[in-house]
Amino acid sequence: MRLVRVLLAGLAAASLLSCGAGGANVPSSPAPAPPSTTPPEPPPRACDDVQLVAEVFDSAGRPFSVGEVTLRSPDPETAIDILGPYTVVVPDGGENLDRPGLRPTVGLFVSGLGFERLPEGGLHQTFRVNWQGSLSLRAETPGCPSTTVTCTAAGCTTSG
Amino acid sequence: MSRGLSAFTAFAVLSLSAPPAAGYRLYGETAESAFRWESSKLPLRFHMLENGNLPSDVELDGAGWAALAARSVERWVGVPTAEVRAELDPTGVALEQADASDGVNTIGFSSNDTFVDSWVTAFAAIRMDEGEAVGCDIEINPAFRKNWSPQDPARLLEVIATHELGHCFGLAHSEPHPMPLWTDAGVEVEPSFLPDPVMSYTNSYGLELTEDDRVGVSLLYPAAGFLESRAVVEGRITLDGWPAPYVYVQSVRPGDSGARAGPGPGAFANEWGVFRLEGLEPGNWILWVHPMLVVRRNAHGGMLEVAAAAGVQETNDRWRFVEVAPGEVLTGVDVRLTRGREVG
Repeated sequence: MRLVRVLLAGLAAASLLSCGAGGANVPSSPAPAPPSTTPPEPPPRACDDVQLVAEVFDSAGRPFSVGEVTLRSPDPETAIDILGPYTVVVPDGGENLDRPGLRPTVGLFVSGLGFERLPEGGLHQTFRVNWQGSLSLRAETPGCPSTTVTCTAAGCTTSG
Repeated sequence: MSRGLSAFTAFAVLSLSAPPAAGYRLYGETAESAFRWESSKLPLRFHMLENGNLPSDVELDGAGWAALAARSVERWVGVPTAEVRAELDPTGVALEQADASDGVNTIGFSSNDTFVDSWVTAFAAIRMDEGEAVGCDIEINPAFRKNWSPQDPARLLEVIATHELGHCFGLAHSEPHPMPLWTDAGVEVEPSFLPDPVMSYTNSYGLELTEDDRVGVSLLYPAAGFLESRAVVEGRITLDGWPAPYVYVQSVRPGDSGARAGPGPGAFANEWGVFRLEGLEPGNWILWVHPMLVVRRNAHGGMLEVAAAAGVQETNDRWRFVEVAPGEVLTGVDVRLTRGREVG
């Protein structure tokens, strides 16, 4: 079973390599097995290609900071965690409001969502955010270290 | 008030205080298995209760109330992706029929003092006889305003009537959209997040049904081609490797190719953290996964306690991205939640 897996992996690699050559290099016989019987490691994930960045716009004089967030990842399973802020007390009044303090929701306001599906299922998501205090988002991709971006009215820092 | 129930009649009250049977937003875990009316019982014909118990603090006479109720029925009947058959019969019926398993569906204001004095705003009771639904009665508290602070009480009353009718058709409670929606705080908010679903417990109510409401009723009474044109996403939600019960999965269009962004349908995970989100249009979606937002005691019944005991209410919101095709059932969409939600 192990040998079969190696062989299939070798064929797949050969096929990929031959794409640009119009099939001229497609082997006519099975590719030789590598000397080791250890299955090849899966190709390393492009963890460095997972990008979560944010920028803060000049929010002087406004009660909320305003920024834009961009997530770009080749992995369709990349997720965003909203680490904060949370728990905005809903104020009384307003045309559509009828009961204050109802929801323990995220304490940020999202708008301007823009999305593009990248080749191989990757994703590119942008959105605008209004928030008070500190905004903290984390991108998590299976098999990769997470990336956290934290923003205040003064600017953003990225870690991870 | 007479209860008028035969000792031989089994009945279930699907009231505001009752959780969905399995944590889903219908009375059942899947649209196929959920409660709905048999076609032989349709159209559901509702009668106005004749008890003269209109709320005294709302500018509303009998004709106005009947018109309001009729609009509420039409709101569901008019969903283009569903075949909801219901009508409001202008013939009034006696109060005794408000609470009876007589096959007559009623809508009106309660005269029960205990109910009027309670915190309950309204309820819909689906009457069952030997496992078969035989009627649905809606009673609204004439003091319905006391739990709310509406700027337009008549508008709130119409939302309540529409909400209770949704229960009669088989819809349980969904959740409001997962953002605060201030309209006067000078913030930029995606406008499509307003209003919240009529079937949610909301503080941002609208008179029109949202996509969540429309999809819910369409799953139960689908128009031709609806189910084939939509997709399903299934998965499991975990926290620290354990099932995350009653987490809510809200679909959101991510704004691709210049298309509008905004919320679509949502669904609760069941007590084992397994979710099945049905009725998605083909395309890209964000699954905005979050704990129960409405923590009022009567919104989701015992679900809140179970979720809190599992630590689910302390989890961060997570966005997971999926793409679905028409008719596709996308499985294995697992979501791992993390702790850290600081709820004051």
